[in-house]
Amino acid sequence: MNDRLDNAIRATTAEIVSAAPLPPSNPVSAATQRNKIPYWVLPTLVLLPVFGFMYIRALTGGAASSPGPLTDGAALYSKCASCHGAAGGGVQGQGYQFSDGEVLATFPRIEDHIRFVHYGTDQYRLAGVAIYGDPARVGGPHITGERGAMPPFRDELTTAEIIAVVCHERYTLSGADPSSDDYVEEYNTWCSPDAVLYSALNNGELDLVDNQSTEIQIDGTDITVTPIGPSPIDGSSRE
Amino acid sequence: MGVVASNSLMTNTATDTSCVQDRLWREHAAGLVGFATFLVGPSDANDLVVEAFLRSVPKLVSGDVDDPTRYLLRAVTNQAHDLRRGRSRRWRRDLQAIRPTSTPVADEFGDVRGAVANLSLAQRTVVYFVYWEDRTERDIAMLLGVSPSTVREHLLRARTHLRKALG
Repeated sequence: MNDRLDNAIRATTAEIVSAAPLPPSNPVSAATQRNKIPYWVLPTLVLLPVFGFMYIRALTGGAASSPGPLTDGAALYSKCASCHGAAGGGVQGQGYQFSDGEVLATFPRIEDHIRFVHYGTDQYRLAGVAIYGDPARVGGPHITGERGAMPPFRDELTTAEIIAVVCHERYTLSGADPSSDDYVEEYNTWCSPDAVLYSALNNGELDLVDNQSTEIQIDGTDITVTPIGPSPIDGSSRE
Repeated sequence: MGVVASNSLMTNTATDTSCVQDRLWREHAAGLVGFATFLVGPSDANDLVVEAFLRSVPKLVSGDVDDPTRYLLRAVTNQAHDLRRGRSRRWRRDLQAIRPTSTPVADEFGDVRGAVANLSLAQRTVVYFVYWEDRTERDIAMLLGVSPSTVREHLLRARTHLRKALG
């Protein structure tokens, strides 16, 4: 029995040991010869924050254009571009040039500019206004109807939209400097993204046609303007 | 010049250490893996031996060890003790999966293989040295750092257990 037991144990032991896997290569050499940090890890780590920044920017999109009269006016100007040129350079025999300060010379005051776009030449002629804009314009005043009819936009655009187009013509096309002494007040009142007058008109809180008051108070701010009024009036020079 | 000599010395020392490690691994790896297979099964044998070897290398290359074979076998045994907790079921499954490659001993000797899986780690260690390496009780006692009577007791209990399996 003992011999049989010893044989059984010996055979079983041999059987189990023979199932041993092949030993791996020297683990110490493998560990020391291995590149511990792959070469691409460092540049990857350096570029990871950049990638993250770009990824977040891609998800959130670029900064939106600041809303305001100039942005709105640029979109609406297509209605004027056929006669005055896409860049306001004017069209021979049709619309006057806006660029290079021309429209600023014609309308030193923005209220005259807005009123003219509102009524168009026919209403000026009917009202007996022969010279629209600055009568002392350098290069000569503009005579009503001299270049054909300028259509009225009062039925096609809201007062706020007319102001937006006028701001675009004056500041973007004609080159008025919003920070200059001549235009800083006008810009802040009518054309800046924070212009309370524009916001009030846009929200329907103000009417410049029927309201004849020249002193307007919006959000506690007193503003002096010349309203569009019920009919065209003579243009004026800058004070 | 001194720096060059110093670097050269360091390089030589590193090379010597590497040679010693390689030699130790070549001489002992296969035997250690066989021993580990008997203790914990083929699935964990390689990992166990590598771990034990890595832990032993600093002591072995320092030259403080008189008998590297004995040191490595004890390291594997200790590592097996660490590993075996909670692994007995896996070990039994591994053992049942082993199929004889040459002689069908399993049928002839009943379920001895299954009974080996139920031995304690100390009993299995003694069985390995007695029946695979043909070592004496005194030799095994020295190898494991226990008394010969302890070895004899482990062997006796193992044989009693396996005799029941033999039927």
